[in-house]
Amino acid sequence: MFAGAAREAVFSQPEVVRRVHADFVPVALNVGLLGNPSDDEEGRLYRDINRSNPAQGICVVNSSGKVLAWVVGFDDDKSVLAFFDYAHDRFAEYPDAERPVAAERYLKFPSGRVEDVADIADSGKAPPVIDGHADGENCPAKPLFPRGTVRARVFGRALDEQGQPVADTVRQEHYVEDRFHVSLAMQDSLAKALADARGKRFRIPHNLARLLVSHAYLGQLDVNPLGSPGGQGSLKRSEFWGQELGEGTGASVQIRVEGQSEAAGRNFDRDVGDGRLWQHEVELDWEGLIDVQEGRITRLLLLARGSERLQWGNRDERFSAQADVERLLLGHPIDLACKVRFGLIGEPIADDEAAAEGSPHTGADLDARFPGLGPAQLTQALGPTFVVFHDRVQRDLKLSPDQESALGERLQATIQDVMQFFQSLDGLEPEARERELGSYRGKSQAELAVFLQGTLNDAQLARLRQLELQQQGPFALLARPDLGRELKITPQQRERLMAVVQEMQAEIDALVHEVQSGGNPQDIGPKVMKVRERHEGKLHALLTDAQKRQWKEILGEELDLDD
Amino acid sequence: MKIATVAGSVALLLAGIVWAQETTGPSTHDQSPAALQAEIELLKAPRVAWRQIAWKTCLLEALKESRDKKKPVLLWAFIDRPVDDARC
Repeated sequence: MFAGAAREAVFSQPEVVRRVHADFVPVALNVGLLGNPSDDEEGRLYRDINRSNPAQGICVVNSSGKVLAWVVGFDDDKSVLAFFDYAHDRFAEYPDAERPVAAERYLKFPSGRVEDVADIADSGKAPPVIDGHADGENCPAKPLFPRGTVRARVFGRALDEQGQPVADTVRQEHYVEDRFHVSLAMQDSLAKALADARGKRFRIPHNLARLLVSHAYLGQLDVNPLGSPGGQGSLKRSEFWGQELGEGTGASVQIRVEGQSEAAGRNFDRDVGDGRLWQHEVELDWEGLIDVQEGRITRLLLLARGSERLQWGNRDERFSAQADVERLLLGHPIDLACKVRFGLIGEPIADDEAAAEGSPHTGADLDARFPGLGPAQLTQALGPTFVVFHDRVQRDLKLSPDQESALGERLQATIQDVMQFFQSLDGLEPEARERELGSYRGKSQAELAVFLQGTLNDAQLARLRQLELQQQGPFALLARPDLGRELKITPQQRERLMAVVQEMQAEIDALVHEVQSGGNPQDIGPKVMKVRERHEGKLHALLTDAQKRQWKEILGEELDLDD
Repeated sequence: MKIATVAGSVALLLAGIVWAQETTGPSTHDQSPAALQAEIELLKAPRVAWRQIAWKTCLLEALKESRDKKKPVLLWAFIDRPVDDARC
């Protein structure tokens, strides 16, 4: 919500645009990048900025990357320019890291100042001065994709009573631009459906149809009728059909596409924390063409026409009376019912956006949901065996070049598969998501175990087991019966261990529920880790001294994977 | 660039015809790739206020420019998506 509201209410004002050009160097970053920095000098810059980050906002930093001020909202339109003046004055005083400077923070400028965050001595080191990325090194803010991934751009318009596009192009409920990526796996499923049809009319694979529908709506991200973090949605109808027409451009095959879709979403009945109230219905008729060559989409041209009803409001009665710049975290009221039209145009990504063969990439359609998806996130989401993709683990295992290459390819395929899977969860109820995730986790672990058996030698597999157990901690004593036997865990001990785990699970469930209800994962994630750490200590305390010694031996030499 | 400009002009010409025939129900008009592309292009607003700011996406690049031009960096940090052509 914040980004959309800031773009509309702040960064569309002509005088703001002029001042940004004249007085600042504008840079936009996903907070996921700030919160998951790499273990290098660039990551150190992100980490320092993130120390004072109020979750999301606009901040001014000096030439050394030191935060001068954060702001999340403004008292009124004039306060935006006043903030620029104020920030500029601070920059004149603290242009670099010569002198320490506290990050000042405003929930609303200038009236809503909150606690400053003091500068850090940075362990006595001067902040890194890096002029850019080395040749061949990719900027972490620029995701790479597997070659052949298709990027589709979306243009959507609300139509007036005469059927003409509404003139306003600032508010996203009137004019929207969007983009998404069609993964290789999704293209494979289309190619298979095309081949299986043998020239007859065929149903477009559901995952591709759903992907199309999930991007054809007006309004901000939060009103996605197929489900947003603060709401629920459903795909009431999705019938997309393809018919091979013959040769398209070059040696490609052209598919004529027709379809109908109905999607509807709304807020949860309970308040998710910010008082949002919304409902959204979108009905569309689709038509268009997709060119396919050797299993890959080479061009996608689709049009959708129909109608949309969208309402966005808030339980807080003051909401409607506030200026747009005051409520950047809540957005502005919307009451829309009109005809709409969408155009989708897609083609393969450019060469400079494709990951080199065999190198890891951040994958298709990472969106904001999976910022910085890498080994640590895979391990958290799918299980301890995925720790094998961590750089430090691979160094510890002393992989051969062939093994490194095999694991690199495997990581690439895994990330692609995980994103595909999470994309398929869009619109599912929380319980169904959990069920699907549990099943996917088990399948992924089993498949990776088979792969590793054929890739690593016995010594490496034994060491990897130790590193997996280090990740699991004493929870492994319950998850792996062989360990319980090895440590001679008594039935009484087992019962007490189970009680601790159940207690922990209850606390974590409550936090997960917060996220599912629209809570900020950035805030809740650390709380989950604290709960886990606390209960890990409790489990360890239930072991006898002899068991503790034996457990330490089983774990082997500790490998620190924390950043 | 020249090719792109010519193609764009043809697309807009075709779009003018397509737009005049447009309805919100199922299509009855020409569904050739050129006509489809033209109609899609016509949906794109030629000048959007928020696109006037050329947001960088690389912090290192921004800090270097900050040092060179002696200007502060205005950093927009958000949970949603990137700023250029994406919904947010």
